[in-house]
Order: sequence, then C-alpha cells, then structure tokens
Amino acid sequence: MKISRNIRAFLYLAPSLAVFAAFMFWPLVRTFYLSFFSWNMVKPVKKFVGLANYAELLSSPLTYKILGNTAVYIFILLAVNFAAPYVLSFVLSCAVKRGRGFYKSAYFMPSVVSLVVGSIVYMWILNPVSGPVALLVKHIGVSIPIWSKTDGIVIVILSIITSWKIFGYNFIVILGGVSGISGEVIEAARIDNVPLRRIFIDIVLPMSSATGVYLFVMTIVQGLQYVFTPIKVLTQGGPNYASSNLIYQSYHELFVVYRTGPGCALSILTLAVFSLLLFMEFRFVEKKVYYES
Amino acid sequence: MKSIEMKNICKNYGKVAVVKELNLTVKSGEKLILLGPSGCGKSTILRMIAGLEEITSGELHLGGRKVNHLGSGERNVSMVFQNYALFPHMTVEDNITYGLRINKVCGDEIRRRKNDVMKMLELSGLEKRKPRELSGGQRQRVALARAVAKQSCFLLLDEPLSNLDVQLREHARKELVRIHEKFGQTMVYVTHDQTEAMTVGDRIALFSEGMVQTLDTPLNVYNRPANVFTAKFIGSPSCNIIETKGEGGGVAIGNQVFSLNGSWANLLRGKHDLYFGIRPEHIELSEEPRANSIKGSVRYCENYGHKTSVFIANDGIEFAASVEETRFYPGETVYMTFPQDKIHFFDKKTGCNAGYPENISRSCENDPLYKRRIA
Amino acid sequence: MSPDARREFFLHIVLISVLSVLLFPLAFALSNSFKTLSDAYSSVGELIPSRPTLENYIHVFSRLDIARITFNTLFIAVIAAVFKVATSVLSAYAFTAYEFEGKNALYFVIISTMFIPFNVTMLPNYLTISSLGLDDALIGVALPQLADATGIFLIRQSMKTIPKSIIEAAAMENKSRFGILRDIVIPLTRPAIMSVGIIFFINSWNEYVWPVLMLKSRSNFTLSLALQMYISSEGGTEFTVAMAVSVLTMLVPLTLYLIFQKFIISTFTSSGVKE
Repeated sequence: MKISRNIRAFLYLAPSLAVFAAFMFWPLVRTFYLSFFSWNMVKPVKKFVGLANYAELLSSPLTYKILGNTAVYIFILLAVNFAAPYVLSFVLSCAVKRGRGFYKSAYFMPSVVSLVVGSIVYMWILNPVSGPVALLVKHIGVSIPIWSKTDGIVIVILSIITSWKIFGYNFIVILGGVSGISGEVIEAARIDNVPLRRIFIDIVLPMSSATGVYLFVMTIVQGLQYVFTPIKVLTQGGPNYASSNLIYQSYHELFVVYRTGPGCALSILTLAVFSLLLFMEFRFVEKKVYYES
Repeated sequence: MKSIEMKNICKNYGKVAVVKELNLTVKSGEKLILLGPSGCGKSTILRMIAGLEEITSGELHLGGRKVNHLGSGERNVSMVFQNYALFPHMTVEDNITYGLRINKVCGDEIRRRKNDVMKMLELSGLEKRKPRELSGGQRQRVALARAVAKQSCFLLLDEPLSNLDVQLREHARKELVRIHEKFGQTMVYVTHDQTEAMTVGDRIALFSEGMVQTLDTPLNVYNRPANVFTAKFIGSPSCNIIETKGEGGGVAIGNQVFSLNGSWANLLRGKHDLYFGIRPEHIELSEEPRANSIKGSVRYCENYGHKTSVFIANDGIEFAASVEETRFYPGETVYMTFPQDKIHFFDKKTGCNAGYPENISRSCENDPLYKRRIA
Repeated sequence: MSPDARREFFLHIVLISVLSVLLFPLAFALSNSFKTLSDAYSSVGELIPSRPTLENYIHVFSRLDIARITFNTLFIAVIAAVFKVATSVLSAYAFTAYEFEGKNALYFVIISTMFIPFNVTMLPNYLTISSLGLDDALIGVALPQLADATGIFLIRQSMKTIPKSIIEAAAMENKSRFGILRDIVIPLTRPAIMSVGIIFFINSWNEYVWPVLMLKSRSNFTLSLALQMYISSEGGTEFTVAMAVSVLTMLVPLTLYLIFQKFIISTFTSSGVKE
C-alpha cells in the first residue's frame, strides 16, 4: 500500500524530474567536472588540471574586478527593485485609496516586455548625442557621458535597464506581502498615533518579512541573470570588463574565448556565491521571519 | 466633558448611503451600545468616531471639540477590534506598551500601567508570549489591556466578544463592565448580540438601515419598545406581533376577541388598524379555558431545559410562548392568557408604539437602573 | 483638503512619476516606429509623430522574413508553455495530494533549482543538445524548457487553497486520484494554471540567452535574435526600423497581458507569500 502510493506520487513527478535531471542536475555535475579540466569544446581530449582553473581565477585581478562589479550590480538592483518597491507598496496599500488596481496593472506592464527590446529602446533614450534625455538635460547645461564606454556609470545604466523590467514584478510580489497584513492591525497602530514611518518599520516590515526575504534573494539571483541581456546586447562586458559580472564573464569564457575550464570554474563560483547568500538567508534571517499562522 | 456628539452625520460610499442623518449624543462616562443586524451601519459609525472612516457630512465632537479634520491618531481614542488586531510579531507586553512608547510616555509610567492592566485582566505571566501562543480569550484580554493602558477617555469596541465561545463571552462581559467601573471611560460598543447589549449597556441605540430605531435604556427597550422593529429585534424567541383591528372594548385575534381593560380601551379609542404585541415569556398557558383567554393548538415545542418554547397556531396566526412547564404536546388544545400590563400596541401604518395607559406606564426617563449607573 | 487627502494627492504624483518612467520606453518605441529616420533624429522625443509613416513596417515586412521569425518564436513559446504547465500541474498535484517519504526534501530540491543561475547549466546543455544533433534547431531551444520549479511552486500554492473536505467528498464518491485532479483540482485552480501558462509563454517569447546560443541560421531566428541584428555599438543607422521590430516583438506579450492581467496579477500577488 505504502510502496504503491510512493510509486504513484513518483509517476506524477516523473516528467518534471526527468527534465530537471537532464537539464539541471546533470549539467550542474558536468560543469563541476569540467572545471577541473582544460578544454576548448572542440579538442577531442580534455586535460585534467586539478584545481589549476580555480587557482588561476583566484590569482587573477580580473576576477576581483568582476566580483566587485557583481557587488555593485547587486547593490543597485536591491536599491531600485527591493527597497523602492517595498516602500511604494506600503504607500499604495496604506495611504492611497484610489487607483490601486490601476497602478498594479500598469506597473507590471514592462515586466512582460523583452529585455532585448528594453535594451535597444534605452540605448536610444539614453543616447548621449541625440537621445531625448540628452536633449532634455542639455537645457540645463548637462551632457550625458558616453555611458557605454565609461567605467562605473555603465553598470548604473545597465542596472537601470534591467530594473525597468523587474521593478513591476517585484512591486506586485511585495505588494502581495504588504497588503496581506490585516487592515485592523494597521488601524490599531494609527489609532495609537503611530506615524506612517514607524508603522512601516515596526509593523509592516516584520509582518511582511517572509515575502521580503524571498524577494530579497530573488532580486539578487534573478537580477544578475537578467542583467546578462543588456550586457550582451549593449556592451559585451566592456569597456575593458567594466560592465561584466560573474554570469556574463563565465559566458564570455565559455562561448567567446572557448576556455571551458575557467568558464566552468567561474560558474561554480557564481553558484557558490548564490549558495552563500541562501545559506545566510536561512541562517540569520529566516528564524526571525514572521510567518502568518 | 467626555461626551461624544454626532450632529447630522451622513456616510455615503459612492451613491450608497450607509448612515443617514445621525444625531446621537453619548454622555460622559456612559456605555452606549450600537446594536443592529449586520450591514446596518453600526460599525461604520464606530469607525467614523475613531477616525478610520471619513465623515461624508455632519459634525463629530469629542469632549466638546470638533474632530472631523483630525486623523485617528490625534483623537486620543482607544479601540478594541473584532479580530483584536494584535501585532503578531510582538510579545504581549510589547503589544500593550508599543503605542505608549511611540507616544513617549515615560518609562516608569508605562511599566506601572502595563502591570496594572495585566494584573487586572489576569494576564500576569504571559508577558513574553506572542499572540499566536495565546488562547482566544487571552488574546481578547490583551486587546482590551492594550486599549485600557492608553487611558483614553473614549473606549470604542467593535464586536469585541464575537470571536469567543459562550462561556468565555459571559466572563468577558463582566470583565468589561468591571473595567468600565474602574476607569469610567465613555464607551461605545458595537454588537449584534442582544444579550451583550442588554447586560453591558447603559443605553442601547438600535439601528436598521443606517438609522436609529430606538435609543433607550435596556429595560425600556425591552419593556416599552418604541416600534415593531425594536420589539422584534430584542428577545428570543422574538416578540409576537399580530395584525389586529380594534373592536369596541377589545381587539381581534383571528376569529376570537381579546377584551381590553378600561384604560387600554380609552387609549386605543378611535384607532383601528393596529399591531398587537406580546412577548413569548409573558403569555400564560392553560389546558382549560380562562376568562378572556384565546384558544389555539400546539404545533411544535422546543425544550431548552429551563423553559419550553411552545408554538401555537390559531386561525392561521402563529404565537410563540415560553413557559417553564413541559406538559404541552403537539396537537393539544391550549388557552393563552395575555396579562393586560404586558401587552403592546403599535400603529399599523408607522410601526410606532401606540403608547401605554397611564396607570401601567413605565416611565421612560426614570429607569431606576439607568439613574444609578449614570450617577 | 484634509491632511490625509493632501498626502494622498502628493503620493499620486509620486506614483504617476514612477509610472511614466516605466511606460515611457514603450511609448517611445511606438512613436518612433512611425517616424522616418530623419524625423526621428530631429524630433526624437516627440511622442506623437507629426508626420507618421508606415515605411519602417513596410521595410520590416519586405526585408525580414517576419512571418517565419514570428512562427519560430511562437513555436518555441507554445511548446515550452504547454509542457511546463503540464509537468508543473502533475508535480504540484503529487506534492498536494500525496504523502510520501522524502516529500519535503524533494520539494526543497526542486524549489532550489530556482536559485541555479543559467551559466552553470548552459555549457553542458549546449553540449547535450548538440550531441543530439539539435543545435540550430527550434526543438533544441525548447527541450531544456519543459519543466519549471516556479510553475510547480505557484500551482501548488493555488492547489493548497482547495479545502480538504472537497477532495475528501470526491474521494468518498470513489473517484480515482487522477479523476480528482482532472474533475476537481484543475477546474478549481484554472485561473492560476492559466496565468502561469501565459507567463511561461511570455517568458519564452522574450527569451534571449538560450536561443542566441543555440540558433545560428537566420531562418531559425526568433524575434529577439532578429532585433539584435539592428544593434551596433552606436545604435546603428536603422533605429526606426529597430523600433518597428521592437513594437512587433512586444505586441503579443502586451496583448496577452492586457487580456489576462487580472489573473496574472493575482497569481503573482500571492507568489511571495510562502507557506
């Protein structure tokens, strides 16, 4: 009885598991395996090099530049797509009575549009010579730098393009958490003359923290992957790796210069960074999180 | 100077009028019950007093001051919510003290008030618990403690006991009255439960469709219902209301005539279309006919142990009678006697009470219970 | 105005400013796709073209095999959406209706695939698809996209809201587990299944990374890849044509979204709320 139940449950799971096994778990193992070899995807022989690929990564200043870039990307993505929607969703659910449905629907719209479209359109909107933003700020005597060729600012711009795509989605998700808080609880605080700012910090943040933590991690994990598209489309990691991040860089190693060893090692490094983030989430945050019921 | 005055207050949601032209004054230190079926606007009124709903038109005065323009935090009212609205991530003591801390009450004072209310509401020992680790009754008491600790002059309660089971509710009712005796807040209490209304309230405002049907003391509401709606709403089983016609010295009950004494006959002279009302618990039943009794047959009985509700039919008219005896059975013939000092008449057109003869009048303004409570 | 109303008015201004930043790019693409190149340069910020023209669209339809490109995109997106929905529904049901050993661990493993970045799997997947002879083939693009942890998660969330008593009532009618899924669970979770399916479709329609790795010949290009041809480092000289292709690319997802927005929004509103 018990065994047959296990088997039947497994039958329902089998299609998904087959796909995950073939295109998620097995590739994961294989990437890990390939990170110990020197290869170029065409040579018939892979040469075992042990930890040499990792050693090369850890000794290369480029790796640290990429890690630094990745950190900057994470910071900007979190500021624009985590902190801002959090505050905005609180504002919408607690202090705005009219037009909630409209804002929800309209904010989500860019999230269904291709990031390639976003990249191209933004390339023109932010064109330093003839784009509308450049023309606008010319009136106040400011000129836009050639951002795709400028260290630092290139990351900001690419993050903004990506944010355009994920802002609305994140907004909807966090709004779900924030508006899930019972209205009576907020009202109880309002009756006690608690200012909105304190309601947000003392009540809304802790009570929506389950959603908040989920979104925090997802913003990093998904955001860094989404940034790949504008990087690939607009800068190819340039100028001089100034806009590359962990994910783009491993693509670069794998499919541009065909160095599978360092490419796979970088991928594993990416996974390690993500795992560390997840671990920290579970270790330090999850316990303090408040779950409904 | 802790009165609540509502002057011509209206509340519309779009085109729907939820509260219509409300004029109501809650006296300082009074316990006013807002009673009514769901959707009658009573909660909306409470929320307007609290500042959680905007007032469409009219004026609201708290302690003599117009507060329409003030936000809920600035009105200094405290409120107990139906679902308690405890902060689920805070401990019991944090729940009680959070508002005080935000409003910069000094530490010693906070501690004193917290200890007071926790002791008073039998919450001692639960300081560090989270709401989800408490029973329903305990949560209700924490919500009450939080409201009381604020020491506001105005205590608003929105169906505070509706989530408790019957035994707890009885206990909590007594507790509420005790708390009020100690602090003397002006209390507005929303409920749909008539027992709570009768036992807790100094006065009851009975609502229907956004309008006050009755505003009176519990005893008067029960003994001298102002109209048919009030008579039927209070009491269980509800008051028997029978369409009738005045005929000389009596009224028609189906094909039979119930004769009235002289003072009733004088009072009703000239009034023909009436409703006759009598509460089930005031009907006396007998197997044998008595003077001026009305004959009927038993249809159905509900036995409550301490009383029996007997449903009696007579010429297509249904009566409910509550009696102590259990000796009546379906199919039997019974005779109903209506004591002359327990009956009511209402005008058929307006539904309003037709008044009472001088000699059995229960004075409306001089309910002794009310006088003692308010003094 | 009461203080609350004044505050709300101010907040509306903030909300609308954010909204216009989000929607401006869409309007920008639309308006410039109806301008000639020289008009676009002289009045690039003008949202309503003073001299609208269809020449960019004519250019797209005459110079690009746009029908073929659209079909390719559609083909991959439909396969991905249909399979992802089917596998997700079955798996979500297994996690809802069955108790089996290792259930929580397995669920955790599946959900954790959401956190695996694509660069970890892309080389081996490329090698696998190539070894199957499916490189530069549409089916090769679709193949790794046949199951999805997010779908399992979202549909399970929705299935969990069905009261147990409904399932038990059906079981007492002697319905099989599969019958319960088909006749009760799926109809009751249809809004979630539908919106998850539409989102899968839209995501695959917009997919760029994986097609760009797999598809080489122009006859196999999807809309995203076609769009990419109009990019050179300084923006290229066919800017208005690129805007026309952009408009065509976002037409389908936006239309689908506008039709089904209510379901989609409510599905994602509940997505962050963990058990």
